[in-house]
Amino acid sequence: MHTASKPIAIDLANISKQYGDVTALNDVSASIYDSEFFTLLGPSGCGKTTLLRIIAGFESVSAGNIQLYGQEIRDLPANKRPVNTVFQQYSLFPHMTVAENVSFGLQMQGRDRTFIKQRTAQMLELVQLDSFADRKSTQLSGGQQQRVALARALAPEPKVLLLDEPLSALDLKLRQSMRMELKQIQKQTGITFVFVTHDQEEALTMSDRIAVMSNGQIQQTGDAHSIYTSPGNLFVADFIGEINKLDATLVEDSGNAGLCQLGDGVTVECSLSASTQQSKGQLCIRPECLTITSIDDHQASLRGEIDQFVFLGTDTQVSVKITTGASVLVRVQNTSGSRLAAKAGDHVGLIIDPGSARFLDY
Amino acid sequence: MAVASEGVKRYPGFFFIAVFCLVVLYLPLLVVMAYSFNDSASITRWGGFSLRWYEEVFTGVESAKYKTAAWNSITIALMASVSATVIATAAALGMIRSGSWRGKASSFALINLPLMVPEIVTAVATLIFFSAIGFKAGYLTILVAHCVFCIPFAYLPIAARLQGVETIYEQAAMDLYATRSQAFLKVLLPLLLPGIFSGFLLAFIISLDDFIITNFVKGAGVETLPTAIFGAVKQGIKPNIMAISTLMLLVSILFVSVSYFVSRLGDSSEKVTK
Amino acid sequence: MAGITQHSSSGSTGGTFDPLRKRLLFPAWLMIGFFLVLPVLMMLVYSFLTKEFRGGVVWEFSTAAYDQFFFDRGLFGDEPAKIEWTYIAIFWRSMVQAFTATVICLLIGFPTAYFIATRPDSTRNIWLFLVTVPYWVNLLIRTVSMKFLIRDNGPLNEWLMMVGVIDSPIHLINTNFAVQLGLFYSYLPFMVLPIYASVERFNFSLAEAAADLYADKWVILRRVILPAVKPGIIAGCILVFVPSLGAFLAPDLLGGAKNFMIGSLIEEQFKGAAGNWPFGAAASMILLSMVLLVLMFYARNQARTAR
Repeated sequence: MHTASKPIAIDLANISKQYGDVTALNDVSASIYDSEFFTLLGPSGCGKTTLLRIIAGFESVSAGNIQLYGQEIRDLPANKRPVNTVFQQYSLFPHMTVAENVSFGLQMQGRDRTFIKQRTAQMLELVQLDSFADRKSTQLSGGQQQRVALARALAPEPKVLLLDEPLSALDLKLRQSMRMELKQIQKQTGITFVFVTHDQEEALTMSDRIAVMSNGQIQQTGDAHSIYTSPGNLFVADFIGEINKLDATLVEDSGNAGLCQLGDGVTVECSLSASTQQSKGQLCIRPECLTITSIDDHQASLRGEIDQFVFLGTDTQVSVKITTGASVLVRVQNTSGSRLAAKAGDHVGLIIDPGSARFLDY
Repeated sequence: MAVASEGVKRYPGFFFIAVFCLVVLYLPLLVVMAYSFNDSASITRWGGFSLRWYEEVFTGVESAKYKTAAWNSITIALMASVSATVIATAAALGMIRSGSWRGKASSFALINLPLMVPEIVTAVATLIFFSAIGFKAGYLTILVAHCVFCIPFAYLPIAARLQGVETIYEQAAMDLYATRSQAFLKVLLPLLLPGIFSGFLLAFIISLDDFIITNFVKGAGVETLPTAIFGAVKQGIKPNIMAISTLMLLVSILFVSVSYFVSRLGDSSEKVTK
Repeated sequence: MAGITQHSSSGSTGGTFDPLRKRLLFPAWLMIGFFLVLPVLMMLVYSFLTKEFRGGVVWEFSTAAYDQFFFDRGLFGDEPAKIEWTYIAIFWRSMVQAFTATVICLLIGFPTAYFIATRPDSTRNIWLFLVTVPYWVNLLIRTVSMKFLIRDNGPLNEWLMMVGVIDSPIHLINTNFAVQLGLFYSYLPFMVLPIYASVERFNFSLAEAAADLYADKWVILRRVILPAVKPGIIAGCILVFVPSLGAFLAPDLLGGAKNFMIGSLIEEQFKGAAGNWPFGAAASMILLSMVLLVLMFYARNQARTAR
């Protein structure tokens, strides 16, 4: 991977965090590279926010070490770490103007006045709010407030910028345009971004690398494509995108690939994750990797009866009851002019795109 | 829909009860206010409009007594409420920004104890205490007693305000390299100010108002306005008492208006923080 | 989002929650502990001491104060003990009066608070302001004003006679009724404000839902609104009952010598002619125990509704 050659910005080693009897983080290790857009993705309660707050210095660790560009920062308080945060609820100081908010960090650092003025103006320009400098921060819209929060966190030139679900309070349209803007600013400034979200679409579109978290552990780390196409375990497969899961037994294992058997004896070629240990598991196939064909097409690996159609705009979702008794979803793109010839009740075959079926053990 | 919901909310007669409530609350005050401008020395017959009783309050034979009493009242109220506000602000921070710990509920009960103990009991206990340790009753004993029972009155609005200020602001400040004390002075304190101000006003008014405790711990010779008025009323209600009452009434109204205004300002800045 | 609130409330050590901040509580603990808790304990001790004439105590253990409160042993203290009803009667009368004042305040205060809370925003603040002002006005001045108003030849009687409703003045001052009126008048705002706060928070779509399910207004009031605003009502009742019980100004200024309440009884032991400190301390202890009992009942009730 090309990022591997870059220096490591944050090195998390065996981080654990306990709240009384509750384990929020369990032996988490990860390396975040310099200038990368790194996302912690997971459902609420998975520990992603706790991990971010540990990096920021708002929470102490129960065990483990954190290095920032090679320097141990575990025992540094938040105000001594060259790391800044963009909070979920903006958290702009309500008694200050936009410019005062943006210059706050620089003032605390004791920078000289002309530099502060210049840097503040530069930051407000970066987020396109230069004309709002003297407004009270409370007089801005949600999107503008979030932009100010970004400028405020970037102004002191942090080595790492932490973003805690910064877009979740915005409405859909704004959220989508802010994604592009964030990505743009990250590229422009070259600052390492650590981004926390529960929204997989956000993670997939913006990140260089994603760490999928659940139950206080990192389940898989990788770029968007590899996480989507080669999930490392059932949790990741399930959490990211839609996927068909069929109970299966691995009957042949040749390292990266193998052969698995479904309930009714049908065997299917599949790829394997490196962590596969057991032969009991599930065969996972994305709905868009299935093609409907005639029942006697010898290329078809699965056969069944069409149950129903759901029109989704760009494509149609077909549910097919296959011979094992399970229900399988198939995505068919709606191209202009073409209409699906099949109808409910038809017996059809399903072709699996080569290499797209993946066996994951329990 | 709006009309229907109005219908559900409205109960016949509630309006008249509310008006009755206001009449009961205001009639005595308005009557005293009106009669304070009565030219006649008879306190019940109306003898025309006059300011002579106000003149008497400021220049009459008893004016020196009331001036001293007013001076005592104001200085005690000022010192007691300032110290109570400082103590209460620290206590609010100690309660609300210290996480959870054993005995927190007891600490809350202790801070609010002066509200729970009947005033007359506080008065008796304080009198006994000062006499037992041989502390001479006077100005200082009043001041100390006032400060103590003003603490919860100052505490409640400050704590309420502090609870409304999310910890995220202090975290944001610390994230931006502020030290703990900078985060307090530059971020938390300004946000807390409306609560501190209304706590101070409340404590001030409560101290200015107090009669029972003051009456017990004042000792001979030291009077505050309420004890002076009480002593005078025992001889009968004279017109100059009504003039003083009217003046104190106006001071109270001024205070409510100011605190009302401040709290609305506070509200409007708080609304957006949510 | 859930992550943040969850973690900050669990009292993490990092950032803003610092257990060392407990030290900020020391001044408050010290002031209240030294100048209120200690004095109350001292008062307890004094109630078991021997009285000295002209005030003060002799440091000699004695239960005479409590004995005097509950038992009658004749003029020279040598007769067999009978229950002494004088002081119990004063306490009983005070309780009845405080209770009555609470009920009247509730009957007048609830509709008022409800009415204010259901005003549109524009007029609600004016009503609220009008009810709040008396709360801030000196209680002594308010009581004196009431005394002035209802005197035999005071403005109220004058007007009523002028209008012709009555021929001779109604005797109000120095009656039980006047004390009752004074208590009601003194503590009415204490009832209105907490009830107002809870009615204002009430979600009126619940009332609409009840109306939709065929409940009439009074059923809605009884079965939907009252249960929801009960905490405010209880708080208001406590705020009226407790100070009424130990009230001094209303009974002293409006009730005169015949309509003694606990407050006047205690005051007389220290400031008045009686000069019996242990007895005053004992009476104060009994009053304090009664109030604490009410508060404990309230706290238990609170804990139950919170669950």
